[in-house]
Parts: sequence; C-alpha cells; structure tokens
Amino acid sequence: MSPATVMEDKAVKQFIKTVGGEIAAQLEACMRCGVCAEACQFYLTTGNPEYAPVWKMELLRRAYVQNFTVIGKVKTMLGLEKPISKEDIAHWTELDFHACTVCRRCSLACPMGIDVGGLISKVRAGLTAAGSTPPDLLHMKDKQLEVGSPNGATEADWIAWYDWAERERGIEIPRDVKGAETLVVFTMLELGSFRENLVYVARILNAAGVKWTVSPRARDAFNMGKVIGDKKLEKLFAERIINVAKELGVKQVLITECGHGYAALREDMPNIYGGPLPFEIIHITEMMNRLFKQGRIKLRKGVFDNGHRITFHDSCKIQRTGGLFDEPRELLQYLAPNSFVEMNPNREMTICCGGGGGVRAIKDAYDLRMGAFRLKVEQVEKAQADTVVMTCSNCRLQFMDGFKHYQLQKEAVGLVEMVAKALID
Amino acid sequence: MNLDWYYMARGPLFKFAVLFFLFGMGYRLFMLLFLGWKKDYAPARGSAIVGIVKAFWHHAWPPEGLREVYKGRLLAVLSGDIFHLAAFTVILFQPAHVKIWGKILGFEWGSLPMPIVDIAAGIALISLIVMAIDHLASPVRHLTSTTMSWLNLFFVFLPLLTGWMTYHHLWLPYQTLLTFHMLAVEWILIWMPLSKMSHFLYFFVSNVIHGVKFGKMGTL
Repeated sequence: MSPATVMEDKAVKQFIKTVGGEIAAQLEACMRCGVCAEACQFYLTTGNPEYAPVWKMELLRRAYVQNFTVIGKVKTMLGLEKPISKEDIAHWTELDFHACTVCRRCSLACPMGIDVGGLISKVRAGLTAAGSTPPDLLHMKDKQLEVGSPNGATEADWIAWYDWAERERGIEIPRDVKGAETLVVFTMLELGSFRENLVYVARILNAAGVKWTVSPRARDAFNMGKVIGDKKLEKLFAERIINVAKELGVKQVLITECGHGYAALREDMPNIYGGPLPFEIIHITEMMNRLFKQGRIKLRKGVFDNGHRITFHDSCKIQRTGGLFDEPRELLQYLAPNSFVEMNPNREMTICCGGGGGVRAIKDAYDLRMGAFRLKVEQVEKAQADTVVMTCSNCRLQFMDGFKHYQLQKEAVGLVEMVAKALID
Repeated sequence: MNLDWYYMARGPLFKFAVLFFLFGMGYRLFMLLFLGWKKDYAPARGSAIVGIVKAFWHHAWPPEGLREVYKGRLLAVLSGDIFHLAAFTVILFQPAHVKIWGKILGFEWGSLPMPIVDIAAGIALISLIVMAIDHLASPVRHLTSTTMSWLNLFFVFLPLLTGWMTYHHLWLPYQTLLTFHMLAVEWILIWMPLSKMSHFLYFFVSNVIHGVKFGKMGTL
C-alpha cells in the first residue's frame, strides 16, 4: 500500500468512525441548496463557490454516500462515484482550514437544520487523521504538546506573567491554592498580548471576595486538539486543566477571554468523558454578570458614556454557541447606557471576525481573513462605533489586525478591562 | 396506451409502489437508528424543547439576521418554500387525491375546488422551473449539482406536469394522460427511498437534532 493510499484510507476511516445516526440524518437531509454560502464570510468576500460551507463538507458526504448508502455502494462498484484522493485531501485542507473558522453561522442559516459547521469540524478531523493539517497549526500543536502553550510559552513564562502582576501592579496572584473556590485559567493569546487582563481579572475577583487561584500547571485554555480535530489531543490538553482543578478541589473553573478553551472544556469534555465534569465551567463574561447581579461587585453606572459610540461583537464560541448573549449586554448597558449601540446582524447571527478556528495562525490565510474582516468593518462603520467590545482575545487580536489593515482609528477592547476599570473599590 | 397499462397503474403497480415506499423508508429509518446515537453530556444552558420549536418556527418566520442571509439566495429559498406549499396543496387537497388518501387511510378530509388546485399545480411547476434555473445560475448550486439532483427535479416535475395535462385534457387522450400520471407518481414513490427525495423525512429529524443541540446551548 503506497503512503498516499494510506493517507486517503486514514481520512476515510476517520469519516466512517465519525458517522452515527445524528450525522447520517443531517447528511441525508442536505439538499445542497447552498443557502449556507450566504452565511459564510469567506464566500461572501471572495465569491468563490468552493468556500460555500456545503462544499467544505463534501469529503464527509462522499465518504458517507460511498460507505453507508445502497445507491452509493452500487455506484462505487460501477466506478460512478469518485473515491477520495490525495489531491482531494490537499485541496480540502485549504478549504476547511484556511477558509473556515468553524463559526457555525452556516449551521443557523441552513433551511434543513443541518449543523454544517459541526460537520466541517468532522472533515477537519479526517484531514488531520490523514496527516494533512496546515504546518502552522501543526507547529502550534507540537508546541502545546512540548511546553504547554501553542505559542511556545513555557511554565517559566507563565510564572513570569504572574510575577510581573505582583511586582509591577502590586496585586497578589494566588497560585495552586488548595481549597480555593475558583481556578482561573488564561490563554497564552490573552496574556501574551493583553497581560493587563491578569490584573483586571484579579481585581474583579478580589472585589467580589471570590477565593480564587491560578496554577502554572493548568495551562493553556487554548486547545490545539480542538482546532485541528484531534479528540485524543483535545482530551490531553483539557486534562492538564481538569486534573489540576480536581487536585485543588475547586468548585469552578473560570475561563477568561478565550472562546475556544471555554467550548473545549464546557461542551466537548463532558462528551469525551461520557459524563459531567465535577465542577462548573464558567466564562468570565457570565462570572462578571453573576457577580454584578448578586451585588458582589459594584460598578460606576455610565462610566463609559464619554461621547464615543461603543458596540459589541458576539463571538462564535462564547455567544453563538455558548449562549452568553445577554450577560455582556446587561453590563454594557449599565456601563455605557447612552453610548452602547448594536451592530447588525448580532447575537446568534453575528458575523464571525474571520480569525477563529486557527485561521489567524495560518500565515498563508492572511489575505482571506483580512478579506473576511471587511464585513466586520462594514458593520462597525454602519453602527458608527469607535470602540468594539468583545469577550474573546482571539477575536480581539483579529480586530486589531483588521483595524490596522484597513487603517481605521478604532479600538478593540475586552469586556474584562471595562468592568475592572468601572469597579467601585 | 392500452387499457392493460391503465389497470396495471391503478392496481398492482400502485400497490407495489406504495409498499416499496413504505418498506424503503422504513429501512432508511431503521438504518438511521441502527447507526447509533450519542448522548450529549454538556450542561444545558437553554431548553431543547424551545430549540425544537424555534428550529421549525424560523422556517416559517425567519428572524432578522436570518432574513438577511436568505436575501442572498432568495430565488432558492422562495422557490423551495413555494414549491413545497403548492405541491402539498395538490397532493393533499385535489379531489381525486383526497379519495385515494381516503382509501389508503380509511378516512377523508375536505378537498379544494379544482380551479384552486389547478393554480397550485401551476405554481409548483413554475417553482420547479425556477429551481432548475437556480441550479444553473447560482455558482454554488451549480457546483453542488449532480446528475441525481437533476433527475430528482425531473422526476418531481413529471407527475405534476402529467396531472396538470390530465386535468386540462391536453394533447393526448384522457386515459392515456391519467395512466402516465399514475405511473409517474408510482415511479416517484419507488425513487424516494433510493434518493435525496427522502429528505422530506430527514428534514424533521435534522431539525429536531438542530433544535435540541442549539436549544441546549442557549443559542435558540
């Protein structure tokens, strides 16, 4: 068997392994109408029909038809069905990794109710099984495997961030505290680019009287296993956090401004384990809203009503598939009741920033993701907003890249920063 | 066309087609269940029931953000929706069809006047032509079109066209047209379990899955 055949077989085997009743029902329901294309930022900004989500899941459909349906089997025997080739795998690697953030807007647009984005993530898993993951993502996966963070940040780097906060900002960062209520987990994306977030989160939790801790071992919230579709790795990376949480006996694992890590722990891990986790997985957005509503943190009302217009970007993993739509809005309406405006569309039909799902890390996808960001620019300009608030660091970095690319004098801000700055001591 | 074909189409062929359809769809459904279903252990933020209701309701009344998306494929969305409404009006409320349903199910319902059914049939036929144009005009639809999708359109077109011609007594003797019409219907009953035409069943399964999933997530 040639290496190429092995490669294709691995992809097909992964696809076959993936297919259960839920996936089969969706593939059978798909009439390939292409409505999903109108929900995809990559199709909308390029007009390339191959970027239609329905086409991105084509390999899974073909594997299903050829292996699970009577007509498909007959057609395969007669040579009327095209088997998945090495060239297909290379081609779909570009389609599914460079031109898809797995934002799942397409899933909500599908008239047949198909979770198109979810199926595309299954294609990614097949491509990864075939050894066809983009090199930039593979490099990040290797780094996370070797040192703990996809950008190569080591335990020493994380400790250095904690030390910096204590030394330069005079705020204690409790570490590995047994019996703490909440384990706070950051991502290297956040601390590498917005290290003040460490201070902001600490201030908010301290103000609320939460007994919290970090652990340099519980890193990184970002999960490259999820990005590339490798469940074993996703579990391995998530367990670095879960095991520490169990050891410390916390009641909560708080994920800060990372959508990806939140979804991996809250949505995926219970299903990988086959049961619920022994603690709550909570996102900082929900935590801040909860503390505010419970009266445990006091905020200055209207503190951001300063003549600038503020809007909110719904992230795919925190808002669209995380359901945290009202939590950030309630806070923003309190902090900036006169300045807060909505972009349209928003909430579950929000347009993705174009940088998620690992796309931001793929250098060759730069033009595509900046092209996709044009839709966001149009939304922000239509809302006449100067500041865009969000709850995901990856989105924030994409917004910063995008504003720079389009030479716009606009600001991308994390909600944590706003809440921390509005705290009444 | 001789009388033998007429009686064949009315009797044994019709029975065979109905049985083939029932066994075929039953087999498809059984296979679907047999493939296994995973339980979702992720903690629920919202209600699965609300999700299911919204999943179906959004088809009837799309929320603002979804309307924006649909605008981009208005031809496909409208032709699809209108076709289904018109076709089911014909299938369920044409007076002769109501009698056939009555024989199969053991009870009947009120039929619609033929002029209304005639208009519905015309609308369904036009919608199918629009869908065919969309297959050619939309770059995405063109890419995803296969021989099977063209065959599906053609096989749906045939019973509607022959039924419409029968009602209007066009070109051929009435009994010949009626025989063609019945044969076309029987063929579609056989074709359905073998093709994407079975989507009528999966539409419900898929939307329930969608509603449960996105309802629990708190998305819907």
